[in-house]
Amino acid sequence: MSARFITLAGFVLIFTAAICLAVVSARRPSWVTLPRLVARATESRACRLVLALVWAWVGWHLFARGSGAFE
Amino acid sequence: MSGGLTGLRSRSSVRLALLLAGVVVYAWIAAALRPFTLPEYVLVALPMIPVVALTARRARSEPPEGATIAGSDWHRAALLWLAVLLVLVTWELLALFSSPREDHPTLSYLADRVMSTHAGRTVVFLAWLALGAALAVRPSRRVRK
Repeated sequence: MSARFITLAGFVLIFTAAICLAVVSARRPSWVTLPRLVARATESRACRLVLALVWAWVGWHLFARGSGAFE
Repeated sequence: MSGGLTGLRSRSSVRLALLLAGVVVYAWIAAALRPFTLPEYVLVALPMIPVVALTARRARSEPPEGATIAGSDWHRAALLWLAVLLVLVTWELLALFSSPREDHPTLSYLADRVMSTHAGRTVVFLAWLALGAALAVRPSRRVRK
């Protein structure tokens, strides 16, 4: 098994786990879904601002400073 | 009366359609520009100003509606999702500090592959704008507790 395969498999596993968790929490009424959790967390102005800064950084990193465009 | 209401609704639909078309055109133009250039810096930075300004507004305070959820359930959900996030960040950092990049791809590296075409870059830019819009309108939306 190559290092590339292991790295990609790790990402696939993590995203699969996240999807499973989202599905399970949506099916059980006593569980909190991710959108509800995010909505609750963003009641705080500080939390919203932190998320907005993370969002801005992601945009800057991907588009303004991204290296892979039109390769 | 209902005719006036219908006219108002159709006018807002037209406005919304025009706004969405404008956003798609903006994303298409921004996606066509090369990174590390001034025009791209400007087009990426412009949406950040309203989003950060709007997220800083005071959130609308509403009484809880529907079934309430116990505090322990909130904590369990927060811990579970934080654990997933922590594992993802750890895996990303492990890949970031390993080399060569071809053997240890990071999420940005994988995103670069998707964004190597104009259409792919436009779609990712639109998704980024949509996330920003969701954050910007959050203070005016109510939340179920």
